[in-house]
Amino acid sequence: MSVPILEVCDVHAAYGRIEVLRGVDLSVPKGAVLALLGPNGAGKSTLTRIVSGQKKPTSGDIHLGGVNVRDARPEDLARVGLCTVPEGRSVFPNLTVQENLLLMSYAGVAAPAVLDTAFSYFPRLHERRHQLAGTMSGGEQQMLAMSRALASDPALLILDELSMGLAPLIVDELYETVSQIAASGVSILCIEQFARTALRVADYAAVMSGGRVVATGEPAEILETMSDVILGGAA
Amino acid sequence: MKRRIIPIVAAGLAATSLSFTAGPALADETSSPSPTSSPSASPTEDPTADPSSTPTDPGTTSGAFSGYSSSGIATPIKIEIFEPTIPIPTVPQAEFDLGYAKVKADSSTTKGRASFMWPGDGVGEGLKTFFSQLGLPTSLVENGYPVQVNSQYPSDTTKQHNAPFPGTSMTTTSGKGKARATVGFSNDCNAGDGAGDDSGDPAGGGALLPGLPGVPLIDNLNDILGVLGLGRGAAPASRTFSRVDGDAPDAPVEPADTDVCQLPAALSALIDVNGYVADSQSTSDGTLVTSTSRASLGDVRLLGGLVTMSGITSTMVATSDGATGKANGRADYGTLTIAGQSFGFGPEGYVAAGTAGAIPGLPDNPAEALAALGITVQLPKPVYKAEGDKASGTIEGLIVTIDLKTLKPVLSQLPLSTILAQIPFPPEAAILKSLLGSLGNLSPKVVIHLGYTTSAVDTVQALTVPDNVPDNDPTSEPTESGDSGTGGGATGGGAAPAGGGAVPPAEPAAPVADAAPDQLTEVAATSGLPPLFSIPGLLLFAGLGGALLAGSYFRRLGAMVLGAGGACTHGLESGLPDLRKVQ
Repeated sequence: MSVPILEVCDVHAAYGRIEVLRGVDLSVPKGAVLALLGPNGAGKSTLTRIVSGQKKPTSGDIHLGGVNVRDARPEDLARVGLCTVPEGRSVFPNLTVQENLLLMSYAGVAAPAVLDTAFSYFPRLHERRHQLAGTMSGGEQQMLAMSRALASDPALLILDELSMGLAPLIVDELYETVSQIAASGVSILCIEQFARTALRVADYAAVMSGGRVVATGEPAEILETMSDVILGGAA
Repeated sequence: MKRRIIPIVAAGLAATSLSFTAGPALADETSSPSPTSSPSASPTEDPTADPSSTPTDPGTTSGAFSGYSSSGIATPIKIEIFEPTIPIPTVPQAEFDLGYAKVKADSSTTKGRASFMWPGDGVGEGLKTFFSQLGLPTSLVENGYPVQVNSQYPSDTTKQHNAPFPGTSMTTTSGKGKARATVGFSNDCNAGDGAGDDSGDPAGGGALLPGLPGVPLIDNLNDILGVLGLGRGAAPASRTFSRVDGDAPDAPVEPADTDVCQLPAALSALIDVNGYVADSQSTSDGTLVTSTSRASLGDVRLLGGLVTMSGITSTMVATSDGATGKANGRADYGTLTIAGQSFGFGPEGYVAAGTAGAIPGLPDNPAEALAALGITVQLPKPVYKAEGDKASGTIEGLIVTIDLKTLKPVLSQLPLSTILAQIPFPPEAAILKSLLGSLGNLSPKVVIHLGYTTSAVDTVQALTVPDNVPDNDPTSEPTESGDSGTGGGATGGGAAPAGGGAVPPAEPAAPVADAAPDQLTEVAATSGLPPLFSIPGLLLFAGLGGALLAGSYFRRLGAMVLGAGGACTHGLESGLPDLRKVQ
């Protein structure tokens, strides 16, 4: 059995005196898509920040590929293959699509390779490569953000609230791409409030609530046991 | 004039009869210069043994103690109602003290409170809250429970007197080292005016309580005590004024007037009394602190005359001189009549039907008969506690417990809901309505304490401060003085050469050599922690650091024992793996 690419062991975290993670245990097998579901305020995004090194846990351990990555810096984690697409896309709105992508070449990847990867996954970006990113739709901006992440050749991709503010058709399209990325061997931790779409492409699922993982299992099991109310309704 | 003589004559008669009847039911075993001497003591004994009258300054602390605290409560009749359905968060749920005198004093403050009828601390202190919770207008009780007087020293109210209606008197005074609270009630509407104009009659004052010489008498309540009916010849159930003083033609008290001062009919069915006095006082003269509580009742009729007593006086005195605390007390009874059978109390115990028995206790037959009715009569034992300079005690004359469970079947038959539905309660009084509706579920237990007194004193000794207090502050400069030896090592040594030009020639080495032994002596006498950065301080910090290292080491050692030798508690390596090469 292979080592999990990501293992979260009893992680606690707090903002000031408010504890938001109360002992999170989670494991993402290599090459799998794990959908982390849960209502707003459950601690999903905080867990994302901790895994990517942007926030220090108050206790607990993060293991990447069987190695403890305590106190690792975000940029170091990015270099070894951990890439995060944060909530809200965070593209540069005053740069064109192509300029946003070329910025990724500063990470060591050749510019043609970056563009080639992006346009192969998202042909629509090729059509709009000279358009300012801020003038694109939310779905297209999300595509651009994912393209930037893919340009870094990630081994573990963390997608935080991919569907936020997007139309269902766009979300379906994005998750089709996610399944393609997963098929290429990239492990994906997919944070979502809306369950059904994410569960469609996930291999495993976990539900967070109140700072803890309250359920894990196959997507079908999770879909049956957890009510639509907890999972945020039919998305 | 005749009216003024009446109480004096009555007091004399009462004193004469008491010497034969009122025996020491519960006397203390320890001898004491307290007011609890023999009941047959002569009325000519010093009746002015008021500790507060000693000429020493009560505020001084140069005596055997430097501080004190004392308290005393006297209640002639304390009625406690235990009924859990009453929504008052106290135990007992309701309380009525007919006569309530309380004093509380310490080295800086003295307080007194007197109330003709005190509803217990819970209601008395928080009446305004109860009114607001029950939806009643709080303007009626804006200043708290109305039937009370309070005094406090130091404050702007060191004396307060009130006579809420004829026959009652409530007085309290507080002063430096002393506090006093007195309450009196007489059903002949003659409780004195509180002006103290009777205080100048030593004969009357001495004769009123012949069994309690030395207890300071109440200046303005001599009249009350004169009519309490403490004598044996008084009929227990009698409530006429002429019975007491035997001089009815000279006592122009109209029956209509006396009716004003009778207890309410509902209450008198439970307990009726000819009169009562509650007196609590605390005094301290700097060498002796005394707390005295005294409760006296005239003829008492319980349950419509089922149980009658011809007079109860209980006294509790707690004293402390800073070294030894003493608690003494006694309860004196007249004649007790239960269900028509009389029991006299004397030195040999009770006398019933010509047979003497031991005290305490009641004969079985009447007690059993009363128990069948849910009534229990107890002669409680006194409680004395003396520990070192602390003393406290409680004396009660009689405890009557009435269990009203037998009323429950009757109450449950009342159509309370129908009756209450016809009364247009305002919305604010909804709570009151629900309370009234629950009357059918009542099964209260009523406990009546007669002659309840309690007193407590405590003292503290002054701290012994040494004459020479060393300076423990290492940051302060050594004390400059004329003594050249106190300059300290480096400072003194440095100063001497600097001032060498002005100071008369002296040997520079000599003062330093002299200073060292003096300083060592002072440091050796220093109390508390040593100065910072001294050797013990270093040892302390070194110990803390060592403990930190040892803790860390043992934690790692424990992890190794469990097979986790790495930095990770899960036994994994630490570092940054290349995720792209993870298999």
